[in-house]
Amino acid sequence: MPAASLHRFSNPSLLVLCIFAAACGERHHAEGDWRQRVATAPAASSPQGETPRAETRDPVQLHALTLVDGTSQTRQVSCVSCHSLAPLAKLREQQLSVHGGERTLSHGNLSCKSCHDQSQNDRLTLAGGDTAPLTEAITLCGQCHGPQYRDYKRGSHGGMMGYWDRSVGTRERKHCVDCHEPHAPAFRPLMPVLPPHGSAGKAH
Amino acid sequence: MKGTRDVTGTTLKKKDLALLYPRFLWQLFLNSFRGGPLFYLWMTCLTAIAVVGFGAYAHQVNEGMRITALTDHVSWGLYIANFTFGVGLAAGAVMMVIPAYLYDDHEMHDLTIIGEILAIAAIALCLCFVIVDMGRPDRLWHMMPFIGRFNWPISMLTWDVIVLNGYLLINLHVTGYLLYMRYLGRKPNPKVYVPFVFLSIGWAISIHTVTAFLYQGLGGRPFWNSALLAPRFIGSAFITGPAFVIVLLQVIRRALGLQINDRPIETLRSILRITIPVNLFMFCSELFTALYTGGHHSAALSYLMFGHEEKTALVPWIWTALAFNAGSALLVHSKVGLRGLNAACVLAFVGVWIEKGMGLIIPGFIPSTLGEFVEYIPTLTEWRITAGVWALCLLLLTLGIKAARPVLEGELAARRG
Amino acid sequence: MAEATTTRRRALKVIGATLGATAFGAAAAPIKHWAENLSLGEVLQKHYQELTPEQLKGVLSRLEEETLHRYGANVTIEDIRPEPDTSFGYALNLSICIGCRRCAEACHKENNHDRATNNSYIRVLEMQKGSLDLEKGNAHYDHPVPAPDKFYMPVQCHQCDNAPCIKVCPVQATWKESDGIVVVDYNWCIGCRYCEAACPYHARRFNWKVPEIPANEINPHQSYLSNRIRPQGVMEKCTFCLHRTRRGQLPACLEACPTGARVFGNLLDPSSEIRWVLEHKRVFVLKEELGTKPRFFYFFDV
Repeated sequence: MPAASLHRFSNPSLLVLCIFAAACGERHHAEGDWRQRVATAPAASSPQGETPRAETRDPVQLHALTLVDGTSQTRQVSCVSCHSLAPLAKLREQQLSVHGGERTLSHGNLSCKSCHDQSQNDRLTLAGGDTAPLTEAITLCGQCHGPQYRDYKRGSHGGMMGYWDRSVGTRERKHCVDCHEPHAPAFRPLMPVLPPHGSAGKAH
Repeated sequence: MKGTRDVTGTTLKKKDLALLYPRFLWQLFLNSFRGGPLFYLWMTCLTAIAVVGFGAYAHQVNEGMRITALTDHVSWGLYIANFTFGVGLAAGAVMMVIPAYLYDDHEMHDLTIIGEILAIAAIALCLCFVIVDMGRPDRLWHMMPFIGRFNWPISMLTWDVIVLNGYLLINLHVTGYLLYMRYLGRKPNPKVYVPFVFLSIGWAISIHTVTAFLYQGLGGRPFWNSALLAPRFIGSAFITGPAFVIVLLQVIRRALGLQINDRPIETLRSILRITIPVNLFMFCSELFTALYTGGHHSAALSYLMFGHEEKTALVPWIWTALAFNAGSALLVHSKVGLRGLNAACVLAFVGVWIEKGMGLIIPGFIPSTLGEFVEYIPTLTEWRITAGVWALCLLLLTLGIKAARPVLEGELAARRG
Repeated sequence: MAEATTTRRRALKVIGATLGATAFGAAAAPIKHWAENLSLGEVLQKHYQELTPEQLKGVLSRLEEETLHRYGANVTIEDIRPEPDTSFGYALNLSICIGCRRCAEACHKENNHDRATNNSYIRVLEMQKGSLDLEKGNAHYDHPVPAPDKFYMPVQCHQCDNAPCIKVCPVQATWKESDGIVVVDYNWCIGCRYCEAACPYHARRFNWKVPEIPANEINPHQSYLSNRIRPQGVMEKCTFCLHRTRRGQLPACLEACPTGARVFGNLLDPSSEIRWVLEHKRVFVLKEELGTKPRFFYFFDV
């Protein structure tokens, strides 16, 4: 029997060093990625994340009442064209079904004059007494809903379509009232789409 | 070496050696078709199963792996379970070598070629299972160092490729050399093969450690992410190897009419007396850690042992495996004869196959990384392919043992004489 | 007598061998069929990072031809490289995600996923309020959303900075590009699915079959590393719509989100919205303890 000059499989410490070096090298490269570059990047000169108002599109639909008039014509009619808002009781959760169709007012403790200007039926009342056209409702929304408006301006509320890189393309943002009907602004539930496939089939 | 002497004293030149080698291979090939009716029956059955398996594999290649039960939740199944088990068997086959060469057990020495042939067949099993599990077998060349792109040393799979193929080459070299020398009628030169035998001992440990590291290093799979996985793999490898060889020795004894006495079998039994309880102990250790701590880490083991809500597909498997392991532990420690030992070997082999295969690979994926419990029940295609691969490798084993017959006869005759 | 036995035996052997060979030939037939659909160019193609510009052009036109032949659709497949000084990040607002899965549907369409399996890179979990336990999550809800006591968590590839999937790939078929996106070369991947086992976020998908999409639903604006129609047997994953985002556009999932829960941008631009979110909202990542360093951040408004 030959003397057991065993050729052991490997020099273990060398192997371990090899693996560690490679693994650490990779991690270091990945770490040196965006976090490090962020720390050494120059400060921004442009305004901080302000969403240009030009991006916000006009509301898709101004929520007036749709009525059929005496000549069987369909018309969009605003509340104040018939009702005076001067001596105002708070209308809460009231069904205005006398006008046909359903219309509720379910916006916290608000009443009509909280938003609508009493004398000009196509303008809204802003805080501080100013008025604004109906298409500028976003300003009014933002005055009460500050955090959401701030988030909207910073791109984390309301969605967008187009380009993230504004130097090569434009972006379109929705208007608040496109999702939040101002008289009952709670976001309406949707049915989910594209169910993940099957319970007993492939590709769950 | 300019020329070497054979037993008759004639010098053979290197040129003659080179010319004789193809003849030797041709003789091996012809020898595969010579045998009695029992041999033919055995080989025909295995071939039939292998062809059925191959047919199923051809369907899988053509239609895609959607015809298996694998999903994006449980993406490794029967094939990789068998692969893992096969690596253990290949490592355990070297179990005969350790007492023979490290402890100068001369009786075992004569039979180590059997272990090496088993290792070759087991590695072939592993390679086949890896190939049938691949989505793109036409791209196998991508994994070759220097020809493709080999992500060594970071990817543990590349280590596995190196060690498994290396182990195959070592065993092919030793076995081939011994068979060729026998064919030429010459005494093998120990310097040519004995260092490789010693190398194969350490290498056998490495193949199964590397395979364990494949699973062990994945942080996203807490069921596998345990330091105990590699020791468990080695422990169970040293059950399946000896268990298979004990039965194999008796089959060879009967089929080839060789005078193998019981001492090597008793040596292997004494190994099983340690490794079976140790394996059970390690499993219980995992069980305690998971169930005592509770929480997320226990989810997979809990599912395996007790099911999750109505999902209990693996529960009967694991309890059967545990019962088999416990039963074989008892049998191997009691004073039973060869029959009882054979029963223990079968129980241990099947028990480890379940525990390491279905009981280790599948629960690693359940619950998924997003906490979903999606079960996996293999399809007929998968069973057919699995059976086909096992049949193919039993074929290789049979032919290997048959080819090694002259070596075995010679060694045993020399010892008696 | 002995001669007769030998002849009989030989005859039996020959018959057996012929039967065996015939059976083998029959068994191998599907492989022949599969091989017919495989082009030599594809089998021999080198890794994406080793192709010369001419070779890459050849590959792209071959792929366009194959798509026309197999799907009947005219597509353009481009090779779109990362822009300099860009490093993408993505954030998701768990306070306003309603779980409608329109992001998953947009991904399904944009990335030319198999129709039959409703495959998508995005998986939305309906979670119990008060708990981030993923095991209590449910991906198979089917009722109007949002449900009152639940919140919704879409999960997709986080393009991790220390990605386990990149480490384990044996053939380097997946790697991280300079803008942070982890990509897959679908023509190099061998389909071993080790990356799928390694990913802690269920981000990876495997092509268990050839994707089936009607010609008129195919998105023809494709790129090599992202939304071209993938072959059978390879891995794929979310690429942050690099065929759009590397041209400055928003990813498809973000555009589809009706509530605006998704925020995307360049982490290296201090005035970007993603940077604002990371600096002003309380963000967290999933499974942070695994050290994967994701680029996909979750936050609540309060």
